[in-house]
Amino acid sequence: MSWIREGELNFFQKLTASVLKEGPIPKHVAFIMDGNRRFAQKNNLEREEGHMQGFNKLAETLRWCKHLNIQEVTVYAFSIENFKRTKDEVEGLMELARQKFVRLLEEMDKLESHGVCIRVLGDLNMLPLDLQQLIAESVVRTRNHNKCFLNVCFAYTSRHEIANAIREMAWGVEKGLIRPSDVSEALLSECLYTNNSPNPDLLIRTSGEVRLSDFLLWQTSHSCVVFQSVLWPEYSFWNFCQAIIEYQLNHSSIQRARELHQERQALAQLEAERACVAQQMQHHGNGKPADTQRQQEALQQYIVCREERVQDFLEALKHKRDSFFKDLCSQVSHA
Amino acid sequence: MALLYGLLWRLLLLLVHVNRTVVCWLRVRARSFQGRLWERAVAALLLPVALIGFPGQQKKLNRNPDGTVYPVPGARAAAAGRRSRWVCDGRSVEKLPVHIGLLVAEEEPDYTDIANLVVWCMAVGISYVSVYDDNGIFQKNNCRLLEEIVRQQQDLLGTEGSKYNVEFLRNGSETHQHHGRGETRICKIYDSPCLPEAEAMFAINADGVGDAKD
Repeated sequence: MSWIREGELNFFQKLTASVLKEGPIPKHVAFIMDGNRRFAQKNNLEREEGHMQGFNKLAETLRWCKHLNIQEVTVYAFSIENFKRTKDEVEGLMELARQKFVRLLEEMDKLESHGVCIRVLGDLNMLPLDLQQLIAESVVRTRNHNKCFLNVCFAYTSRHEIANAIREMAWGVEKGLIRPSDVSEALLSECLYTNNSPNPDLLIRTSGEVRLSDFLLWQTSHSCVVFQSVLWPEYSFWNFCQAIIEYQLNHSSIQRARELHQERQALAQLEAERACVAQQMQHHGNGKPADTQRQQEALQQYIVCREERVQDFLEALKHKRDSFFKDLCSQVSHA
Repeated sequence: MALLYGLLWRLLLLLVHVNRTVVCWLRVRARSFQGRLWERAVAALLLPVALIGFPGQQKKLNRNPDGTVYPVPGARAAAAGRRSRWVCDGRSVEKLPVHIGLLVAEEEPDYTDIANLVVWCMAVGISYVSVYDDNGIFQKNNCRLLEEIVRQQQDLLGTEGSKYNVEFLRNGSETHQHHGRGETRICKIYDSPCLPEAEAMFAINADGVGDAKD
């Protein structure tokens, strides 16, 4: 079945969507699509059929998001922990992924007309090579689309992502691109797989489980988290609206908490920079306390240099990641 | 049309608010009606639910190996009775968490409520409790929280409570504070320009902090 489901909402759905759009709408929604296996068991289907239904529901959900002007969606398709499941099930899921990405490549014109950019986040080296190549092609060919964004987390866990970001920063320090003092929360955010997306405003987990399962732990620190007991393949437009209403009810307090956090971060950053500059001046100075103006100038200079360093590092990181995908694509064309 | 939708939206949110308030009120009424039964059911259901934990303050609770309940006369019997009920509640739950995280989302958190939660955790057998709030209020006023915990320990658990030692572990600070005896306190020095890394004893006297009397 297709990634893009055409079609309009029915009258009541349209009415509800119009009413909800009067309030704050999340710009980025994340889904933990849980409950496929339970759905299969409930309806006496094979597990693969449950996952297939789950994928169809994803396509439908993307259509609802388009009607509600939600530009970005991130989904948890496959966790690194899921590799521990039976060999058959893992193989079945890989085969499903292959079929879906092949289908995606076939539907490239539809994706282009809708402006859908597909990103796949996770440790793709853990996947079979042919699947990596399919993914790379999908990502590269939809890279420049900018109307809506779908991030598929495949072979992903949040802790692995954070550890990877720290490795990248260590690589940057080793290469001399950044200094150890440049490492900060903000820089770590820029080194995550999700660095091209804003943090999710709303995280929805279906099937009634109340846990985060190592999904976007860093990014959802100030998000609205909604747990719904419906199984993912049975998810309806009304369930989605319930989650959006929950977001709207908590919007102002979450905004306040976010702004407070950003203020504190900015202050902490400034303090750290001042301390660095003071240390620098102590080392290079002649022991006499510098006047305020010189301190200010030194601080400005330090900030400018740091920002340049960080930009260069992030460019290098982007180049490294782009090359990874390009190399995979060129392997395909040479094969 | 936009005006109509705007009004409908406000009405929708109002209805949801009203619905939730009514449901909450009904739950409270049902609880008071069914009394102990409801409390035990809710406690048994809520105890194993993983509350979201954040790095913040951690309190390590050392359980006295000799945790038997002795029959005591008079008013202390009530506290002993409560504790034995909580121990039973804890045992009736199949799995107890080793570490509970309390995320306090209120603007002005209540020290007594949190102290009660910590004491209940102690009584039921949960060793580690992390307390976090967004504004760092508990971290800044940890002495006050600790006093409140000790007070609630006395009130709720009676003499049995003194069997449990609350040890304060603070993340991100340079000293670990342990309780000493009476007015003396022991602190471990990690980083000092003039003192060696060791334990030092100081006393909190009427006129402030000073040397401990040997």
